[in-house]
Amino acid sequence: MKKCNNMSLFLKGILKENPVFVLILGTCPTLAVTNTVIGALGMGVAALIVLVCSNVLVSLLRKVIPDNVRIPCYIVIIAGFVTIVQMFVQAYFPEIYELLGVYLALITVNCIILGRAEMFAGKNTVGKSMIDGLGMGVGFTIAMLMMSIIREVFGNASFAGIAIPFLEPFKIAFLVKAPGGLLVYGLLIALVYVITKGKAPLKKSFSCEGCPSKEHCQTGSCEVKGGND
Amino acid sequence: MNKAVKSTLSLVIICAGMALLIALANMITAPIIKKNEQAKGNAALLQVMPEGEGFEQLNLSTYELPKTVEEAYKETTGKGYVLKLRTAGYGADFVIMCGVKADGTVSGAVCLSSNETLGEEKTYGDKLKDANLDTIDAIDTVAGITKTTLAYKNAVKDALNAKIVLDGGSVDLRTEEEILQDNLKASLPGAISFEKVFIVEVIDESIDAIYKENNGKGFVLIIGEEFIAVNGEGTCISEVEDTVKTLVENTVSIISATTTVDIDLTTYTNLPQELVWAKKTATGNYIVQVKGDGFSIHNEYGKDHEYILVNLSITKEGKVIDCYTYSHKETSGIGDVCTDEKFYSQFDGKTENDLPSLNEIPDLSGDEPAYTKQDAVKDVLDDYVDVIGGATITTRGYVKAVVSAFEVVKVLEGGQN
Repeated sequence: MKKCNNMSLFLKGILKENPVFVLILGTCPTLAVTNTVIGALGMGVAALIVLVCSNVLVSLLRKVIPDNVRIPCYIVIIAGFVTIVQMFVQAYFPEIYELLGVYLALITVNCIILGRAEMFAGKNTVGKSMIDGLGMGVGFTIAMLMMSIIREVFGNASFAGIAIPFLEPFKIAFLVKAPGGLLVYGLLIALVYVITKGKAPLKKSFSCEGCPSKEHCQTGSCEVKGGND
Repeated sequence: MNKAVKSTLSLVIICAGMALLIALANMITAPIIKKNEQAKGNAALLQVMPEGEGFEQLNLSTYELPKTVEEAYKETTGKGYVLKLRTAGYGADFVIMCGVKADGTVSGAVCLSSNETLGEEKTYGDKLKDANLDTIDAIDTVAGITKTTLAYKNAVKDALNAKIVLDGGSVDLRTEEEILQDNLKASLPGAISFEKVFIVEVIDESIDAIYKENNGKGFVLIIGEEFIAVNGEGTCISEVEDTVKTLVENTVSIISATTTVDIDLTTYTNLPQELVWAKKTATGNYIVQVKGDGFSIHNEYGKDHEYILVNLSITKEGKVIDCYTYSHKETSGIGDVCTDEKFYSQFDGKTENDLPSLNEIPDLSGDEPAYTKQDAVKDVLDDYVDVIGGATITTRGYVKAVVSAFEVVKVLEGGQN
């Protein structure tokens, strides 16, 4: 039963609560680096590592971190892991480091990571937090890959930098530009909505509960609308 | 425990813990990152010195190098040096990587970054390959991007000079003007600074130039290679033959005694419109300021639009005694060569017959941009003067000014009309 729970926890991040297509989080890197498959994969994996590590550490420390400074603590933890990942990428994958540029450092402010720390890891056990991080990370990576494959193959007539000559005459250069990214993004959100039959339970996971501004807000006007980046 | 203290403490501990983790990651990755960057840097160095095996960056503070040199790398097996140079082009700074072989020739040069308007400077380095200090001057700049390619060439020249310095030799990094001032100071004790005298009297032809000390310490006359000084009292203090002594003392007394009167131009008609003002010396020579329509007037971008003002001294027979550029707004680095003594001194001693007449010089008015007629202009001017490379329109304006000065003298000599 427990195994089943863990599996559904993991799968939740991939489709039903996909951070990119359902929760609409992490929009900035999703649009910025998905014009190449390599860049998207690099960003996805980097975010996955940061997500798992920060989820685990936040969950480990959840009982010692005072509630009133939890957000700064999460940010320090996330920024620390981002810096570490950045160093390793720079050392071992310099090409990807150049490709991702500033967006690698910007993982720090990726809403998915802070969101999961705040909404999940801060309240659940280490094991569950790790699985949640993995699920969300894999979901994010898959979403990035889907976007980038569509954009690079049809926009640049290549896959992971390898040219696809027969597509060259039909390529839609617009797709690798920012507006093309938005279009593909919108279409994929629609597709996921159709697949999940609109059952992605935004309301449940994005209620006022757990919102850092809950004390001051209380109007509930932002409920259901999801996040942004 | 106090809530605030607890919060602060836990935040501090988390920060310290993360810092520790980052330090650990840095320990592992820093050497690899450094190695990667070195390899990347070497790739740029190998581009200009393909035969290089390894490079070592030199500390430049111990050498006196040309200002353009930013970084210097020594090839570890002694094949030469690679220098990173920063120079100013037409638009903004650009960075050049230049390799210099042990025999003092250029092994390659590439432009690393540039905001220049044209693209040809990217390949200009290929033209400079194998050049050395003796041959580099003969390599042409590229028409249309004269300033950029000239700066490129000068930077590569700096690299060749830097190689000599890095090898332990010495190079005179002074500009021609600085060398001249130093030589002048050396020949007249106590002198601080000099200014070239605008000669308005006919003097002995053997005298190439006269410089006046700005604080009244005297004069220095240049005859051939020699610098001959005359002190404030008008006595020659250099050890030269008596005839030369007499010559320089007489010359100084002539130029010191010169007096001029302004000519009232309103009493004359038919004076060329190029004339700005005119004076006459007691000995009957004329000093005139004339204006010429250079590129600043004819450029189609509608900026500056100022004439080149040329001051000339002319004998009443119509022979140029001396000439210099008073002011101008010609393009920096191209047309402003008209302020170069080498350029304007070519008019010394010229008469009307040595220059084209005003009718011969092609007209630039009309709807066509001036530069489209530059080939026709160059064809005419080339027979008479050294045209400034890349600044045909400037040269044309200058020549027109000088030629109109002859007309001025004719009218003034002809008396009141």
